[in-house]
Amino acid sequence: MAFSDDLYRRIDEYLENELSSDERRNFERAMSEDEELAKEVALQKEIQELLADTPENELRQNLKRLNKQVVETGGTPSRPKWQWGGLLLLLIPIIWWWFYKPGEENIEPPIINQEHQESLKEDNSSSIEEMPEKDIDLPINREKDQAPAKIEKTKESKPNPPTQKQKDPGPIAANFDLNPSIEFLISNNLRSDDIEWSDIQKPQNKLQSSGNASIPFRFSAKLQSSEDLTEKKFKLHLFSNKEEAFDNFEPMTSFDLNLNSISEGVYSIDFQADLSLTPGLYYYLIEDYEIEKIHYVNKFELRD
Amino acid sequence: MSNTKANNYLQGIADNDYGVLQQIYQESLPEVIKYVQRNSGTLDDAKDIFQEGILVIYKKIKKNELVLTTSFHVYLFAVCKRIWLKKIKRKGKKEVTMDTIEAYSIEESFEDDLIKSRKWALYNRMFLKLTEECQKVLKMAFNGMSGKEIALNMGYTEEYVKRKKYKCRISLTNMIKKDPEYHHLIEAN
Repeated sequence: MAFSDDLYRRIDEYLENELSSDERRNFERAMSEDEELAKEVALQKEIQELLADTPENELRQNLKRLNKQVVETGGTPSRPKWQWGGLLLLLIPIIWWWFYKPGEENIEPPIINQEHQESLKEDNSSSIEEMPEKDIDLPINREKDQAPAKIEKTKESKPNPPTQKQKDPGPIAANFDLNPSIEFLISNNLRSDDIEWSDIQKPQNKLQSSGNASIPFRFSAKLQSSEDLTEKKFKLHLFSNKEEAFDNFEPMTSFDLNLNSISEGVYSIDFQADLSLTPGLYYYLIEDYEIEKIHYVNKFELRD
Repeated sequence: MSNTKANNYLQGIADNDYGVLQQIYQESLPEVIKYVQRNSGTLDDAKDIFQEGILVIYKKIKKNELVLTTSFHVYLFAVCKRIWLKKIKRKGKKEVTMDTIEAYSIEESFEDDLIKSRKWALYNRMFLKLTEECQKVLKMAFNGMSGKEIALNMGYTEEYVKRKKYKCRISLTNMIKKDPEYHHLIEAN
């Protein structure tokens, strides 16, 4: 039921104690006779209470901030998201050990990954099969007995353990070494749990360089969310595989993404750009820029 | 856990001390996430429940009703567990393990509190979509300032503030009512 502006003014005056005693009595009588009006007044009172700066609401505010910092791994909220880099660096030797364990033929995913996948299986709303990252040929998700060609190749071309930083190859990546921090994000399906991604059209995992010509990059997807995304500012960040670039969160380039509303709670992204890149391994991340939340991570290789 | 440490947590919650809250999140949340996820919940459910658990404790502290007979973390975990069980019991999910947590006497109004917290989040989200002027006027009004005080503060006439106030109220209310989340919350109530 829609109320007139005058009635809202009356409600406002009632809640602010600005009515005379007669007016107040009349208004209360009207409320007792009109259930819709009584409900509206109750709503306005509730809005007022929940938006006032009470200690309880301030506590809620802090708890909300802390909740936002909790990611899919249940990580500690003390670190801003991009300081994970430091933490992840500590995990590199462990990840390396899993990948390169000498004499070990069977590679199993780290426990954290197994637990995470189990928990996702329990959650009907987010099946692992729907993960956009699933179709990437990631060593960490390989079947136990498969010989991971990519791993062996990386092993050959990588005499030093990944804990040693690569020499900066220049402003643009020129090798195919995996960036362990971003790989960690991909392999653990660290993605938004409040957006469902579908109809994803993304660059192929391996692209062919065409000399000096730029590479057409296209990413499109359908997003479903109970949250209103119309006002959201999403960015697509392009990273080389350089560890320090991601650790310091210094993308090569970033683009604003337009979210088009298709229907209620359903949006689409259709992003296209021509990128001038030299051969190498690249990662792209889609981030809600205002709250610094990563919603999607993927990668592609550009070969000669 | 020593009494001093438990008191430090309780005081931190009462004072809304961010550092202490952060420590509580680090130490207690992982267990709650594990529990909720094993019992048909999602990470978001776990975060909601944890937030509600802390709010329950906050209210008990404020009412001087909290007497810890166990460690703080065990108590918080029990509160969260209880909130989650009540929530899924209401949803009719049968697969949850109903174990013994009756030893802790905690008030029963969890669903209402949970809905209140969600409304708080929704109202705040919509409030931030208002113009800066509307936000200022409403914030001052909601915090108890009179029309005259707001007018003085903003350099407007009292009549302008009156008009602005209810107009902003209407904008905010319309946005809230249009949001699907609002209808879910009303149905859940």
